[in-house]
Order: sequence, then structure tokens, then C-alpha cells
Amino acid sequence: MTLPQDLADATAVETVFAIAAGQISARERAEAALARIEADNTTLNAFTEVTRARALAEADAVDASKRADLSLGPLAGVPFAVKNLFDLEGIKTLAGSKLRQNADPAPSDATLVQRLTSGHAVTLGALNMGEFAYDFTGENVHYGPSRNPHDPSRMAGGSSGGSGAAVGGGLVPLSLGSDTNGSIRVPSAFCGIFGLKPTYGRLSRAGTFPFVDSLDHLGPMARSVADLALAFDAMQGPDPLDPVCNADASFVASLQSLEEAPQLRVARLGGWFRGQGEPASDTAADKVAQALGAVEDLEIDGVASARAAAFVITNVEGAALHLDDVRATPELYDPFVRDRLLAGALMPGVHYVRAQRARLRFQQRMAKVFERFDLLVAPTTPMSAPKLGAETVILNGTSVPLRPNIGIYTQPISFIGLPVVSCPVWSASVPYGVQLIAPAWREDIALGAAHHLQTAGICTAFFNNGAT
Amino acid sequence: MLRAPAIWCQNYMQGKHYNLIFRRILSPLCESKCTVRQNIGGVRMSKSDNRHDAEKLMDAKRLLSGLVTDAVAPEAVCANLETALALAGTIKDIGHEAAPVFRA
Repeated sequence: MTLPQDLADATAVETVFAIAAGQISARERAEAALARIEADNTTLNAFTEVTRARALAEADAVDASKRADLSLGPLAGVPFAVKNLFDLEGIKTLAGSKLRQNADPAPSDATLVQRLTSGHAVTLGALNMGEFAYDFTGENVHYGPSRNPHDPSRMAGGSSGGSGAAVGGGLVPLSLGSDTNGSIRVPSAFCGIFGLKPTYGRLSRAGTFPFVDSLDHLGPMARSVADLALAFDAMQGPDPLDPVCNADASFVASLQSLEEAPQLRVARLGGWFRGQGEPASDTAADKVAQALGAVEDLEIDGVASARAAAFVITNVEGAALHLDDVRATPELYDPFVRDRLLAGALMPGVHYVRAQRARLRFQQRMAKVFERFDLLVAPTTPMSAPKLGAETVILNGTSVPLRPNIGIYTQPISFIGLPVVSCPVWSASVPYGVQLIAPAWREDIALGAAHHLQTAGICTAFFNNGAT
Repeated sequence: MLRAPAIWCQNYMQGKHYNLIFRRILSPLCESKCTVRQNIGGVRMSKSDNRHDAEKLMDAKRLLSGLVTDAVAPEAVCANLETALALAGTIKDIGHEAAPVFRA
């Protein structure tokens, strides 16, 4: 296999094959990643902690297994890093906060970290994020913003901003993020990479700091679809430590199915999902829809209510989680986050109950849609990455607050837990994201379509130096 | 002329969901001040333009101390609540079912 000139540019799949073939050692791969982090993290501010000693020890263990002719795991030698709401043994799980600087170090790894390292992946560290995951921008008042690898004056997106910047900037080929309302998909779109938000209940959330239990998902971010599938396959499976993780969900061999080319019935979502923001956002989605042979522009009733309900559930559950800490130490919170949590604490309960009931109705409506279609296409965000500190955005011709509106296209989908791959489409060197939305438990459909788009050159993750 | 939060507050109180707790929490919103945000070198700060941060924090603490005391809510809280309530108002009550999780 031909490897990139700089090993740090190697994808996860390239890394696995090169190590298995004896072309490179896991230590060489880890050191290349560490050198890249040292060189570029000052600009990107993606890492809050680099676990150098752990990474080299894990890499050396892979090399020792290789020398002893023992079997290697499916992710042998792949460097990865995680949003800092994932537990990493011996490290404080900050969840982007100042408050949790007082927390004890995590006694063990989060379940998904355990599954990746069981597959012999190599842990590079913890990544920056918005405070307690309550943001779409990737900015953080305590640790500074994660910066966009394609233009550091712009947002990386949030709340998994460090996860997006680290992968988009080539610091690691693979990262993990969380997505409550779009926090994997938004930074994937802004940073020009691929991101998978699996079905709600697919991947265990044990050992991660929660935000909104009803809506929290975890998933991988990478520069290739094969890397997403490789990581996703390694992380699937029931976990009694997360009651939401569905023990009955059958394993989806997404990596194996990438090369299959089933005839898909595809629709481009219109209505709510068209024309709210930058025209280039719609153009990107149209381009993808056309490439997948979309047969119609589909308008779905109730999307606005779904988005509103997601907003309310987030506000209330987030407030419930943090109320005691906000009461005790409001000065430790980002004032913007604190104000949202205060508002959530004041929301009448009736609205929360109605919002939860709305999920069933919208699920049923979408289930009907998936009787006619296998895949739906929509923009990920209505805009490309805004400038850091931007306060407003033009939507529907009107200037509106930026922060509550970045996720208008992602919230209705995560609201009912559907699996989505966000794919990067470029317009004049600026990345836009396009959501490929599949029926529940069919991540393989979204990944397969994304792989087709990547192979066809329609969706590509560029490095910040312009090389693919 | 009433400022936007006060108008909303007045409208809200005239609504069918009006109750004592909300009147007591929300009525002082008319006295609240503006919040201004600065973003310098990527480090974000928030400060009030005519009230000290410490005072604003005390407002937040009072507001949360029992959720029923008279307190001044920072205008940003009011704005957030107004947004959330406006969105919540668009959600129709669909009945008694609630099954938020897909089953495999």
C-alpha cells in the first residue's frame, strides 16, 4: 500500500494495513501523530490533554504483538482521540467545563474507548469541546475555541469542536464525539470531514459525561468513510452500563457492506430543509441528491415542531442535570451556558411533556417516509463555518442569533434518533456538510451511500494543506 | 413604551398559563439590564454594560435559590426563556403516548 509522504496523514485503514504488512511500526505512526499535534495544536487548540506516554505504550504493545506473531485487532496502531467528556483512565473528564477541574480522575476508560483500544487503537488524548456540550460553535470560555483547520479565524463547530479540528487538521485520523442536537454533524460540516451519528441507543454512552439523556448519541469522526465504518464496527454491541444501549440491536457489518451498491430510493428533503441559509448549503445537498439519483424533493410535515421539541427537551434536561451546580457555583459556568440553564429551570413542565410526546408522532411520520425511501438527503447546517465570535446569521433574509440556529437542520433528525452520516462537499474551498439520513438501525445504508460519494469524488475530506 | 421583555412578560401573565410563581419570578424582568459579549483572542467573556458581574451573579443565585423569590433575572435569561417558550408554544399536544426510543 502506498502511504502518504508524512505518516501523520495516513487514514485509519491505511495505518492498519501498513502495520499489518510490516511497512511501518505502530510506534512510528504514533510518533508521527504526536509530532503533528506538537506542531499544529497551538493553532487549532483541539487537544486539552495529550496522553503521550499512554499512546507510546499502547503502540509498543501493538508492535510486540506483531513481532510475536499474535493476532492484531481491527484498529491496530490507529491513533485516535476523544472529546473530553469521555472518561480516560487517570484523567479528569472535564466536559469542557471549569467546574470539573475539581473532579477526580476517571477510574477507567469509557466503554467506547475500551472497545477501540481492545481493537488495538492507540489513545492520543482528550479534545476540546463546548462547555457541557451546550453549544454549536466549538468556542469555550475556559479553554479557548477550537479553531477551524481550513481557516483558524473561523469556528470549528460544536460541541465536538476539538474532535472536528483534530481530524480536519490531520492531527489524528479518527476521533470520537457526542451529538445531542448536531454536535458530531456540525463540526464535521464546518471542518470538512465525515461524521457518523448512529441510531439512538446503538452505541454505549457509559463512562461519558451526559448532557440530555433523551437525545445523547456518541459516534466517530474521520476523513474517510471506511475509517468511520472501521471504528463503528469495533464499537457496536450491548452494554449493561448504559440502559439506553439497545441489547436487541443486531450488529451491522458496515465496513464489509461499503463496496455493495444497492439500488437506493433517495429523496432530497425540501420545505424546512431548503432555502433557509446560504445558497451554497442547498447547492451542496442538491449535488449529493443528484449523484444518488434522488427522485423527488420531499416536504415533511411537523419538522418545525420536531426542532422546537428538541430545543425544549435539551433546555429542560440540561437544566435538571446542572441545577444544583448552577445554584452552588454559578460563577464557574460560562455565562452564556448558565443563562440557558437558568431559562431551562424556569420552563413549565407541560412543555417538556408535550415535547416528549411529539417524538412519537414525528417518529411515526418518518417511519411512513421510509416505507417509500431508503435514504434522505439534507444540508447539515444552513451556513459554512462562521467567524469566531460571530453573534448573528442571516436566515430567510433576516438577521437572527447565530447560536440557537446553527442546528436547525440537525435537530429534527437527532430528535428521533435516526442514523446520519454528514459528508463534506466543497464550494470555492469552503466545506459544507450534507446529511445522509437512514432508517433506524441502518447505519450501513448511510455509510454505503457516503462511501459511494467519496469514491466518486463528490464528497472529500481535504487536509488543511489542500492535499487529499 | 415597554421594552420587549416587559411586553412579553405582560402578555405571558395574561395567558392561561399564568400563575403566581411565574409572576413573582418574571415580573422583575422589566428592571433587568443588557448583557454584552466580548470575544477577544478566542477567550470569551460576558459582562453587563451597566451592572457588575458580581451583581449579575447574585441575581442568578437569588433567582435559583428557591425559584419562587422575587429576584431580578438577567435579561439574557429572559431572552433564552422567551425563545424556548416561543418554540414550545408551537408544539401541539398529541395525546398520551410517549415512546421516545426505537426498538430494534
